Amino acid sequence: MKRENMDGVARGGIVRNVAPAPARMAIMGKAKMMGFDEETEDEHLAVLGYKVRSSDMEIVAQKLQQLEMAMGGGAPQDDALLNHLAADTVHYNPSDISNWLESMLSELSTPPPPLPPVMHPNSGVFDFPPAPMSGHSSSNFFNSAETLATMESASTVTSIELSTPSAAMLPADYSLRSNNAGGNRSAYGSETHMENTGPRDRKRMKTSSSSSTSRGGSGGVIGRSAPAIGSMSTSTCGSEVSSAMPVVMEDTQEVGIRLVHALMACAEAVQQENYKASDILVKQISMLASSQGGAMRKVAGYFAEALARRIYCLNPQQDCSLDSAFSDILQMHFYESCPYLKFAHFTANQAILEAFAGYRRVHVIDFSMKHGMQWPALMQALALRPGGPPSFRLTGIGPPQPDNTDALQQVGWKLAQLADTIHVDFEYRGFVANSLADLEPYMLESPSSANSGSDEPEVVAINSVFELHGLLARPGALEKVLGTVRALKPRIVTIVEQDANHNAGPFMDRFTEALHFYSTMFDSLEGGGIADGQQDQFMSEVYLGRQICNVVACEGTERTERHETLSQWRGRMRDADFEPVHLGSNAFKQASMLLALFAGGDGYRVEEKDGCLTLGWHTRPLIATSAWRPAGSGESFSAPAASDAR
Amino acid sequence: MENAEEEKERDNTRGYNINDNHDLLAEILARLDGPSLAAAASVCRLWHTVSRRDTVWKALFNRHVAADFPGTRAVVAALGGYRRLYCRCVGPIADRLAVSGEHATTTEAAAARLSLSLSLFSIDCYERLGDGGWQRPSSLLFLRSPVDVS
Repeated sequence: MKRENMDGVARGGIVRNVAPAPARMAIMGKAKMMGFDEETEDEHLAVLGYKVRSSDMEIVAQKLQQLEMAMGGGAPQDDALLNHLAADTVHYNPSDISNWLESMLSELSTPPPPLPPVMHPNSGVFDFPPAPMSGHSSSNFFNSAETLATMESASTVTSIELSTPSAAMLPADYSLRSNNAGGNRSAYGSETHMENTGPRDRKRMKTSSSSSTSRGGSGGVIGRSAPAIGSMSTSTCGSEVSSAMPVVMEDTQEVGIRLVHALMACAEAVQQENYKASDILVKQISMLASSQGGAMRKVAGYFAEALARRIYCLNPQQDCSLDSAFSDILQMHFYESCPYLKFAHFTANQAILEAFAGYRRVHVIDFSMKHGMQWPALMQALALRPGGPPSFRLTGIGPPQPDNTDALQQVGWKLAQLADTIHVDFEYRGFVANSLADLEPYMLESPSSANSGSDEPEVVAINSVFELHGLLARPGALEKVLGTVRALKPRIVTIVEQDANHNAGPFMDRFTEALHFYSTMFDSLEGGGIADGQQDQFMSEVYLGRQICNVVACEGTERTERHETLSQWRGRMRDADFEPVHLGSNAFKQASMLLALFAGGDGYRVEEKDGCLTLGWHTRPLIATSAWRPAGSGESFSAPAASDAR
Repeated sequence: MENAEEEKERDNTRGYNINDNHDLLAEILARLDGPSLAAAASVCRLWHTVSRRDTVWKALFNRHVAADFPGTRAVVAALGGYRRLYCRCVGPIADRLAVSGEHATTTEAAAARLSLSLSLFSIDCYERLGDGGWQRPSSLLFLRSPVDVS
C-alpha cells in the first residue's frame, strides 16, 4: 500500500520537476516492472544519488508538490524570480533531499503564520470609517476592502472541512489535478497547511477550495465572491495560493485589499500586544507591498516600518538636534513638490496682510521660521501696498542647530537683503528655543526704545505652521503658549495644522486614521509630474514617512505628531479665549489659483469651512488654515476696501 | 547709365530697414507674445539686444495681466525685471492656467493672477539670494512641465 503510494507519488510528483525527466521515468518504469522489495532507501532515487528513506518518501513527495506549485509549473504568472529559481543550478547535497526541499520552500515562502484563534479577520477591525469614494489607488482599497469584509461575513458557502492530510488523499488530487491544474493546486496547497493555520487562513482556504470545487464541478464561480469584486474568479485562485505561498499576484487590487487587511490586523495585534503574530504580519505586509505599485506600496512600506519599530522598540532618538536640520531639508523638498506648504503660506499671508491694513509699523512673530519661505511674498505685498510699505519687523523662532551655525540669523540676513532691494524697512530678530513653551511674553515684545522714534502703534501678528501640534505631547505646554500669545495682544494669529485625528483614542483608531490620511497624501504626491521632481517627491515621501513613524511607533513625550482635527483646534482656541477671524474671499481665490497651477492639480480642493480654508485631495481635507484674535479685541474687523485688497 | 539710375531708384524704393531704428523695432517686438519674442531674440545680435529690453517685456506683461498696482514697476525692477518675471512666472502661469481652463477675464481674477505671480517671483528671487550655497532655486519648478527624455 505504501509502495503504491510511493509509486504514485514518485511518478506523478517527482518526474515533472527534477530533471532529467525522461530518463527517470524510464528508470522508474523499469524498476516497477521488475518489481522491487521494500528497502530502507528508495531505489528510484538512489539511482540518481538521492538517499531517501522509504518512510520519508511521502513527506518528500509532499514537499516536492509544494515546491512545484511554488515554482508555478509553467503557469503564465511566472515571473523572473521564479524562472531564475527554476533554472538555478546550485546543487545542494543530494543525499539530504528532505532538508534541501525544506530550504527551497522556506526561501520561497514565509511559513504560514501560526495565529491564535483570537485573530478572526471578520472582527470589527475591518469596520473602516467611511472611506472617500475616490478612484485612486490607495484610498480605493479601503472601499473595496470594506465590501470584501462585508461580503465574507455573509458567506455561507461550502466550507469544505479540510481534515488532516493523509496519504490517501494524494492520488485523488492527482487525478483531479490533471483536469484542472490551477484550481486544485490551490486546494492542495491549502490542505498541507491546514494544521498550521488559524481561522485567518481558513477564511482564505474557504475561498480557494470553494472555487476549486466549483471548477471541478461546473466551472462556474460561486456567487459569493463574484459580484462585489469582479476579480474573484480565476485570478483569485492564483492569488489565494499566493496567500500561503507568495508568488507573483496577478490581481493587484485583490492584493491591495489583502495588504490593507494585513496592516489592520498587524495593528490590532500590536494593540493587543501579541508581538509574535504582529511580527509575522509585518513580514507579510512587506511581501505584499512589494507586489503593489505607486502610492500604496510606499504607504504600506512606511507603515510597515513604523509598526516594526514599534514592535521592536527601535525608536530613533528624537531629541537629536541633527534631526531638526535634516527635517528642515526634507521640509524644503516637501515645499517644492506639493502645494500644502505654499497654500499654508499664501493663505496665512493674505490674512496677515488684511490685518495689517492701515498700520505703519507691523511686527510678525513666526513660530515656524525654518527657511523663511513665507516672508518674501508678504514683504512684496507690503511693498506694493497703496501708501507705501510699513516698517516691517520679523521675529523668527527656531530650534537649536547642531553645528553651531546660526541658521536663524542666516535666514534673517537673506530676508534683509530682499527687503533692501524692494525698499521695505526691515528689522529681524531670531530666537532659539527648544520648545515654544519656553518663550515668555517679555522676550518677544518689541523693546520700548523702538517706540521712541514715532507714536505709531505697532501691530503684531503671530504665525504658526504645523508647530502647535507638537506641544500637545507635554501637558500644559499648549496652554502656556496660547497664554503667551494672548499676552502679546496680537491683531491676528494664523494657525495652519493638519486636519486629522491622530491623537485621541486607542492605538487602533489612531492607526486607521493615519493610514487614511497618509494614503491620501501619498496619492496626491503621485500626481505630481513636475520636472526634475523625482528627488523632490522622494524626499517629500521621506518627510511624511518620518511623521508616520512618529505617529505609529512613538508614545508619550516622543510622539510629537499629535495632529488634531480642525474642529478640535477651533475648540482649543475658543477655550483659550480667542475668537475666529474669517479668511476673506481673496485668500480663497488666490489659493484656488495657486492649486490650478499644480500639474495633476485637479485633485486638489480648496474649501471654506466656517471662515477657515482647507486644502484637501479629492474629498478628503488634509490641512486647514484658520485665523484668530483674542476674544473681545473690540475693533470691528471687516475685509479691507477693494483698493487694498490683493 | 540706366543701370545706375535704376539702382538708385531701387535703393530708394527698397525702403527702410527696420534695424536702423531700434526704438521702432522695440515697439514692434513689444506686440509679440512670449514664445515669439523668445524666437525673435535668436534672430541676430541686434534683435537679441533689443528684445531683452525690459520695456518690451513689460508691454507683454501688461497685456497678460490686465491689472496694475502703483509701484509695481519699481518693485519688479528691483526684483529682477519684467523679463525675468515673465519668463519665470507669468508665462508659465498663463500656460498652466490655460491648460486647466481658467480664463482671467474679470479684473478680480486678473488681480489675483498678478499678485500670485508677484508672490511667486519674490520667493524665487529670495531663493537666488545669498551665497547660492545650499541648493539651486527650485520653488518655481512646479510650474515647469516634465520633459520626456526617453
